[in-house]
Amino acid sequence: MLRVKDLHASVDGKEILRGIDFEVKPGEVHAIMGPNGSGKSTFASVLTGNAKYEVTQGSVEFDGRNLLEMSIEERARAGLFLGFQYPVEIPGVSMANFMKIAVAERRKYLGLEPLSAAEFLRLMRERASVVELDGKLMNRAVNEGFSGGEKKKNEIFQMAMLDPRLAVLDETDSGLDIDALRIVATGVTKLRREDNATVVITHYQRLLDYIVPDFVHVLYKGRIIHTGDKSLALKLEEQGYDWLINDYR
Amino acid sequence: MDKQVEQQRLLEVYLSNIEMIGEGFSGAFNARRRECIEDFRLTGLPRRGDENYLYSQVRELFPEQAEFYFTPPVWLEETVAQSGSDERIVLCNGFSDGTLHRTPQGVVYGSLRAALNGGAQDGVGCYGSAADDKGCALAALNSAFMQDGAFVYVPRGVKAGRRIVIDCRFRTREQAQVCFGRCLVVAGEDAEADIVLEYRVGAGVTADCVVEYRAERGARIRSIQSDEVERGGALLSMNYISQCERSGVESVFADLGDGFSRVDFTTDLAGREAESRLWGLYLAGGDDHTDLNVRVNHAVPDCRSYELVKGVVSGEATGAFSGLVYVAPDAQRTEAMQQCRNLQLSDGARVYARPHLEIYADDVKCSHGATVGQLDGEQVYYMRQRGIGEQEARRLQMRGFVNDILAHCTCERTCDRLRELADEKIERL
Ligand SMILES: Nc1ncnc2c1ncn2[C@@H]1O[C@H](COP(=O)(O)OP(=O)(O)OP(=O)(O)O)[C@@H](O)[C@H]1O
Ligand SMILES: [Mg+2]
Repeated sequence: MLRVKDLHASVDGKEILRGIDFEVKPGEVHAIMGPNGSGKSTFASVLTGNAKYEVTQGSVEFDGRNLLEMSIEERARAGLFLGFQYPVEIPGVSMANFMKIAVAERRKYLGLEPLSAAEFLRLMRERASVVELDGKLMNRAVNEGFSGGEKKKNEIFQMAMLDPRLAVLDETDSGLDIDALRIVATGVTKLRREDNATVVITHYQRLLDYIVPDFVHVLYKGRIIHTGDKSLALKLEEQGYDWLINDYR
Repeated sequence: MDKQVEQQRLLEVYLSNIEMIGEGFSGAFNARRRECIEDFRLTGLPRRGDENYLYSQVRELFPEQAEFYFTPPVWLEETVAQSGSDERIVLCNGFSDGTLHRTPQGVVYGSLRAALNGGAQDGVGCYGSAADDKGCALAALNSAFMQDGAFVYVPRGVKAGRRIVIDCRFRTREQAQVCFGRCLVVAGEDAEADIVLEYRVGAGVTADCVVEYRAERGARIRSIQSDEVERGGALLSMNYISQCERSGVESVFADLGDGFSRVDFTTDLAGREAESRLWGLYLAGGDDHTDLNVRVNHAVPDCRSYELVKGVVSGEATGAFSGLVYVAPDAQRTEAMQQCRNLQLSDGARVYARPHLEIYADDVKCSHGATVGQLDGEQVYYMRQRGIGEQEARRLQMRGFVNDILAHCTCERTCDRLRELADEKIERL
């Protein structure tokens, strides 16, 4: 589904990603961990096509297409979803309106008929319940005045609405209380299918108790320096990154 | 030697048509015209750079070849016939069909000419009281030339159920034309008036329009003004609002056209505990010109005023806002807030925002501010990441920005219309 080869990317002339190889197959869950500043968010941003970053080397293939040649919105319509570490507030644009347009674009891409107003409302209600998101928020401006936890739930709600092929969730667990974490994580699990895949970026093994990963990768200084199974997350939780980093050096 | 030719010409046009202009009006009324033209002669047309006209050159809107007509245009009858029968006053190049209506509740609306010449008793006495003697040459010119217009009077204690729409259309065939529009809206004690004022100005027309609003004690006036000026047309819109004790006036203003518009709102808070609120919006692209001036005069204690103005300016357009809140020496416990926020979409766009406070009382709560910003790249990125096209994302953001103002339209139908117009305009930005 996703094949990343020797990906290098820089920002303002400074190289942040220094040769990433990474592959995701349908049905898989991958976790990416790594110390602060190692390039996790950068990797996610480069996948989505954020213009801040310049890809200097390497290739990315997504469902057989050259991802790097696609615009941000084309990537999204093709089913690449990013759960933002810091969701953006959009004053004056209601959640409902925002989602209506986004869902219409995604459906158009998939060759599906547009939803009727009633169908859309039903879908919205149903998907909001996946993460127990208060329906009242749909009438508010996107993320504006949402609490930290509501913003994160809102990301997963949007994921549920758009039904992506590949979702990259950047620290969706941070800022959530214990109950919210469980709700969000089980929400993500409910959305799992044989034909989609999830990449979760996280610092905490706690999340991985709910979203059980097939692979755990450690990103350090712009490279994946180690890959293991879910037990790696437990080991990192206990021992930190030092042993790996020392090894790597 | 800059004896203004434009001014000279206007004076000549006035003098040579004085009989036609004053026909049907009382001697006293026409004597007042002469005072006004004298005021105009003394003040002269404003020049760009004059204190109140820093950004607008209005002289060129009165070209030498411009025509003046002193009779209603031929298309008036047809326009009125097509406009339907709801509470609507149609003005064509400033002229109405001459009728005056009276509802069972005693609300009077219709032709200002008819009202001034014996058709109405109450309210007409306010004519000129807010607009004259303000030192505005364009308003003085209007007072000298006006022959008709719209009149609305809501008697004491009456809450007019329906909105009254004043539909002001200006157009010309080929020749440049100068027209005058005039309205007087009076809400008696504890009365409520809802007014929608729609300006449509065609290419080639310079429309000099004065509207006076008078809110008596405890009265409320809600007004919505929309300006649609075609490219090559010009609107000079001067609004004078005079408020007595405990009165409240809420105005929503939206400039959504493609031409030249200069709009003034001048509010006198002359009675205690009066409250004024204004939400203004201008969208300017291409080579549009829009210049909004808001003045609030806190003459007495315990009044409140609030203004929020938003503008989106793109292309080579000019968007200007000047605000002045004046607080008189004994106007204690004044609360005034004035905000102007702009989005500048291109380097060629010129945005000027000058909010001003002039405070001579010591116990006041006043604030003002102005910002000029760009579209937020993060927001556009976020929307695109959800599959929304870049263009659409930018427009959504603009609509969101604008929504803040239009959300204050209390009339749903008008609000929908303004949203539609704003959407169309945003697509042209
Ligand atoms: N505009 C920039 N100029 C220079 N360096 C930058 C710029 N933007 C990001 N960086 C650097 O890139 C590195 C990677 O940042 P990134 O946000 O990808 O880290 P991360 O792994 O997501 O960290 P965290 O766990 O804290 O979220 C950091 O060292 C950061 O300071
Ligand atoms: Mg990060």
